[in-house]
Amino acid sequence: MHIGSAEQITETQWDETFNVNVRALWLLSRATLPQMRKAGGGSIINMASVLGINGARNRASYAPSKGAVVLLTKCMAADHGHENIRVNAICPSFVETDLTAAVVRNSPNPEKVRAERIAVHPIGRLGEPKDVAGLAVYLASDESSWVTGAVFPVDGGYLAV
Amino acid sequence: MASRLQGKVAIVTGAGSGIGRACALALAHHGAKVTLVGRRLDRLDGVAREIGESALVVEGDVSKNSQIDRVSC
Repeated sequence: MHIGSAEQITETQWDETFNVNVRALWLLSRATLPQMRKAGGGSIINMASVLGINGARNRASYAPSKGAVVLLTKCMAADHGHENIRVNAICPSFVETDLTAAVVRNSPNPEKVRAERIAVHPIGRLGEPKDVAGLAVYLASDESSWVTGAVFPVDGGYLAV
Repeated sequence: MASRLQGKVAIVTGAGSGIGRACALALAHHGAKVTLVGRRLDRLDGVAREIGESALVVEGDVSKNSQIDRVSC
């Protein structure tokens, strides 16, 4: 994940971010639509972010890319609902993974950065990958058969404050 | 619980670690057949072993259209 303001990020970083976060979702979704259509429907679950809804300092490539995921989700939901193909987005906040741990580790004061991150979550802790997986199961299942074009924060309350 | 996703087929990208791995494990736990996609084969193989025989592994970079067919076919 590239960090920086609009002035600081490079064109290469911008392209990398959008290739991984947006282009890949579009390409794979497009490629799987014929099979879903043939099967009588399907569920596409896009991984967006709370930063696809709100901005943040030094995320001038990441947040716009996740914003694009949110609207790709809604546009595809609009286009393919009649085929029973549902498209939804999950918006995690700070989930501790190899990727995000490296961002913290590479900061000047990792302890302080981690404490600051916890402090912006009313629930009082950072997320774990399994905190997100339950919603993915629901969205993949027939329990969510009337849910499409929806954008779900899974964020320890990050967006509530 | 396994019946929630019985008969479903799931493709999970970024399945070798983090949120992708957790989603793949949960989908499989609830009965889906899961295809694990990612760029690092060793990681994918590790997740596939955790799931068992219902998992398929496809190594590839889905940001490149030339590699998409490996996943969707």
